[in-house]
Amino acid sequence: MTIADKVLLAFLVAATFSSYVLVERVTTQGSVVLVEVDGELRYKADLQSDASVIIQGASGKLTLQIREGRVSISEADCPNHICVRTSPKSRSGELIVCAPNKTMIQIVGQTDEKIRAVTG
Amino acid sequence: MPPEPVYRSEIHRITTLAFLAAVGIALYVLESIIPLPLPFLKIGLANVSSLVSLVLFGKGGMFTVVVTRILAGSFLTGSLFTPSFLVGLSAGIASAGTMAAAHALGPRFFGVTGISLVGSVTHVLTQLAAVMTMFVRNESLLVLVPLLLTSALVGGLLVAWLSSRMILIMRKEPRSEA
Repeated sequence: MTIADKVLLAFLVAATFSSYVLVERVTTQGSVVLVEVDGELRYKADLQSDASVIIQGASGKLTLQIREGRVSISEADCPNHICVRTSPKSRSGELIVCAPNKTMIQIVGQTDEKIRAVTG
Repeated sequence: MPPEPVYRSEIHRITTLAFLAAVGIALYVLESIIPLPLPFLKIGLANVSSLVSLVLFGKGGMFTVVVTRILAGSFLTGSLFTPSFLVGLSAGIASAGTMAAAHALGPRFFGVTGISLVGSVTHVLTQLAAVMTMFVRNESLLVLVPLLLTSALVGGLLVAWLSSRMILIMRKEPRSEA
């Protein structure tokens, strides 16, 4: 390893570390789960509720699970199951997407909700 | 890393590059089968072939191998001509470009580790930028940056280690008259 290698490595480790800190500071615990299929809102729920809902996607059904303040997809009609393999989300702004079903699950915080309501 | 030629003839060069491209394709397909919590969080093992090509054959050889690997790999994993193919292609070419630039600074500047890290970080950030420009047009995906940077770091170091071993082995190849 040359000196430049070590400098680069040190810089990247520092950058990675600070990105974790930055993201933690900027994101907040989410409160509402929004489910959009093909751009239109299909379902809305509180993140703290315990629910298991079947959503009709563009090419099949998806089973949405909200448990212990986290949302995930437990089953879906899609070829790659990328959405099912994604780890559960809980923070505001996080997304789970199922592209074949054109479905997007987004977590929104309470302040976002109010801002959305005011600005339409 | 002295830039000594590793090939004996043009045929040897072409077949060695083909071998390296095949290694890249195999690693790429292998990686796409491994399930991960966030599926696009790859370690980028296929970059071993890109890096080895760069060091042994220069940026011309590397670009040949990278483009071949991306096309064939996408074809085999079924993502050719899909939107995610564009993302992968732009990330691959961008990271190859920055690796070539890092390499051009000379062997005394960046070693294999540095070039590999430059490549993996470029790859990961270009992927994110491509997805954010083409698909999800808001800042929500930025929360992924820490995870992406971590995988770029780990992947970059792993690729550097594997590549340097492979370069050593390939350089020791006996030079008999064909």
